[in-house]
Amino acid sequence: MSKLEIKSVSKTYGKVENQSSYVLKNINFTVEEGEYISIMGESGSGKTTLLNLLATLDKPTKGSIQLGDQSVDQMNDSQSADFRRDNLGFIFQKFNLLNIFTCRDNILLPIVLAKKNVEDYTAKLNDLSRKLGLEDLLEKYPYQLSGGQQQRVAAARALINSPELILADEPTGALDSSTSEKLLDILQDFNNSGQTILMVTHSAIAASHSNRVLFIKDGTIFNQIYRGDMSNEEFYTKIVEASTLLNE
Amino acid sequence: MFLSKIARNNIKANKNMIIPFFIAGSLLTAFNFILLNMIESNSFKNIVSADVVTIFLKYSFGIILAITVVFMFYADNYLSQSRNRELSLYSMLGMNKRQITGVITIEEILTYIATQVVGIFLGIGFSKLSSMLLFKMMSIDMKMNYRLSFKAILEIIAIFAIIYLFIILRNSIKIYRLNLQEFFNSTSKTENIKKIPWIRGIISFIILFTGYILALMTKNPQKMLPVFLLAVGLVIVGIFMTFSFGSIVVLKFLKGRKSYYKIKNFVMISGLTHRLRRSSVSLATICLLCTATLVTVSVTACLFAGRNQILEEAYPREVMVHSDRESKKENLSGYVESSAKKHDIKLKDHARLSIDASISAKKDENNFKEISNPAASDLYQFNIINIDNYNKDNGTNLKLSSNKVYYYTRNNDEVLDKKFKLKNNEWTVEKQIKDNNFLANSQPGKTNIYLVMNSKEEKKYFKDKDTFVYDGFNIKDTGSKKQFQNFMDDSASHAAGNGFVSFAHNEYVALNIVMGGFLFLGGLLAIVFMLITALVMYYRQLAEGLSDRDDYIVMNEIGMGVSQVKKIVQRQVNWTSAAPLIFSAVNLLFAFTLLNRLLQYITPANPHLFIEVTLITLLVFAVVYAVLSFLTGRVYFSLIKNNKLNDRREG
Repeated sequence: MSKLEIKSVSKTYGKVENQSSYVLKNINFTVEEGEYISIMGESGSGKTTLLNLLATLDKPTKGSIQLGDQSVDQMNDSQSADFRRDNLGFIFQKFNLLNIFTCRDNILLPIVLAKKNVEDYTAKLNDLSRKLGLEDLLEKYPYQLSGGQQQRVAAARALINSPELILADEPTGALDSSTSEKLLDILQDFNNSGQTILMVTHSAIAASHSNRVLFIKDGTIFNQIYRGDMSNEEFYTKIVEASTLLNE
Repeated sequence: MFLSKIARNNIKANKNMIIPFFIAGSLLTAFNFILLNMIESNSFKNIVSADVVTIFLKYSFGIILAITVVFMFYADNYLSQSRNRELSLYSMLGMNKRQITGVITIEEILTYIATQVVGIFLGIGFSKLSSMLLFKMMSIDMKMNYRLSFKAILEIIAIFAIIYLFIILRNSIKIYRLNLQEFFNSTSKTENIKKIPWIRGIISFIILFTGYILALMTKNPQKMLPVFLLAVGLVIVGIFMTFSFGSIVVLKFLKGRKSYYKIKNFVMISGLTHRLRRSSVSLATICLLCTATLVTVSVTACLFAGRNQILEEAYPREVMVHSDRESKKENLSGYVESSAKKHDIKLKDHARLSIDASISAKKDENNFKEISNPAASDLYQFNIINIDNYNKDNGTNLKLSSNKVYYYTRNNDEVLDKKFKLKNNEWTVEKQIKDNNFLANSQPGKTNIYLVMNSKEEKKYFKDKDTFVYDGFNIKDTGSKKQFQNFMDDSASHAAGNGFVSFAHNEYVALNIVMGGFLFLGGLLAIVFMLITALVMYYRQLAEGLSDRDDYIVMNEIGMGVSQVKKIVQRQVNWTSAAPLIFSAVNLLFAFTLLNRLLQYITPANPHLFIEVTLITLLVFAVVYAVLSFLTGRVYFSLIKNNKLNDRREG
């Protein structure tokens, strides 16, 4: 994947010159291929807005977002839809899956949308199902599944297309600790195989699975820490320290 | 009082759902009142042939009342599901069950008062108009024999009070029975999904087709009505099952094909399956209500359209006299003529037909076998005429050699071959009489043949079995209404015991009354059916819109373009809206073949007329249905459009 470049991105609602309505102010960072990034911040810090911008669900008021050679912020609605379909994978906290489809069809949806041949992906589907423990659930409907199971199905859907970038918004927000741990381990595995992931979270545990954490406060990037060679536990401690600094 | 404030708040908050319920309740109150008022004010008591209309009026009232009751419970059931959301919140804040029951009771009472006030007001306003319309359709010149019955007002208020009482009771019991845990979670319980209902799906098709085939195959008029009811029962069950199971089976089959994984089919088939699972009952109900509307309107419209032909068939002359030839004491026909003179009525076009025997037969190739069951189907009625009498009646001098006949049928259809067998004797047709002045009437449902033969044979084979004479007159000048009435009364009363005298005029009036009354009530029933249909449609779109909204947000986010989603949604909405209409048209088609046969026994009108009237009914109905679908569809679209990003992304 080419670099994801966020340059001088700002987002306001309401009258532009009013300082207090800036949700994001002059955000700058880059994401390289194969990185696993967490964006942390309290509620109202602007992290979800940032995610929406990256997901092309909204446009920045100022600045640019570039994925490889595509200028994401310049696209119109249908171009954005195509871009999302071809380049992104989503794992959200809620409303992830479509109730009208079986789990199998939910996972295959990106393939169908991209007008690719479903049969070519059967092997990948089976592989993902195995890794995510979904084999018995494929013919069921989302509302027959628990939260954790749904999230795993959503992960499979996000991964089936091998997208340039996976965007995750509080993926463990509705899960208990052991299910969270399972899901995070899976994501870490896929990242080890080369999948680029950007995750928004306010859970330090979740962030400790990534290899770079950006801290957002009041619309700007306050701090950034790298994992380096640390283990999850060590990184976790560092993250907690940095969070405490955030609140002083 | 504190509780009533909460009740009023609830009503305001649930405006979307309560307003249609309120409109329907008021309109149903109004319709029930209009009918009850007609019954109670006894407007037809002086009109003889209106008896049957009064009976039909009472049946219609019964039907509309039954539908009202069922609908009120259905709608209230739907409302209470959404009410649970607020109530669970209140109970969490500390309201006990008694208070919650109090809130609901107050809500219901307020709704009751509102629907009654508006409903009765509307009913009184429209009842005079309805009565005038009814009288006009019956061609009754009522010098405004319209009366407002206060008894009816009180009765309606009482009936609805009882309905609401039961609703309140049912809700109270439900609340007391629920435990709070369920209360909280009773908001959106997803349905228990069963495996694909292969067996039930196939059974549904079998039941449906059996109903259709039954409708097609019944020819025996005696068996017709019970068979029709059985067919109706089967179709009702079949439709419910087809929408619930059969459709799922078909869609599952489509899913198995390769073409399933194209975007259009992918979303369409899964979406339809999902939608049908939720809404199968509503869709089946809509289908059956539409069928009921179509059948009611087309039958009453056919009868109304064909009413004059009943007259023409039965009355080749405006005055028909039927006398027994043996009784030479009174020449009834002569009496009628002298009565006419007495009352200053001028008669013309006198014709006479003497019948010597009359037998029923069934056709077997060219052999007509006499049968004694007058109610069998496909009967041929032979009226045998001795040629001597024929010559006497018509001033002719015809001769027939042995085994030769002349014959006549209305419409001059060629129903007999050159040679045929009757009474085990072979007859040869000398000529078919095609005289439009032949004084023959026909009984609907049978083929009436008038056979002229020489007297020796007539006596040999038919033995003068039923001898009677028809005399017919047309009226040149009716004189004043009073004179004409006196003439009719005089002739009719004199006939008693010697035969009978009948007047086309009376039949005409009676037909207008009966057929006009039927058409009015048929129309009224249709309006009520369609009102309920519109409401079921509305609530269905509401339910589906709320539940689908989230799905469309997700679809957009994972990369389906807005216009793509719009197109697919529109197609789905179109298919689910069209399905009940298509099935009800099919139901009408099968019902029509059966009803057509029934109708032929009532009126010998041209079957083409029935087909035309039914097709026009279907077309008008399709337009009305399309409009209703479009209007209720807007609810769905407005709900799913509300997918503002901020709605679901917090923080």
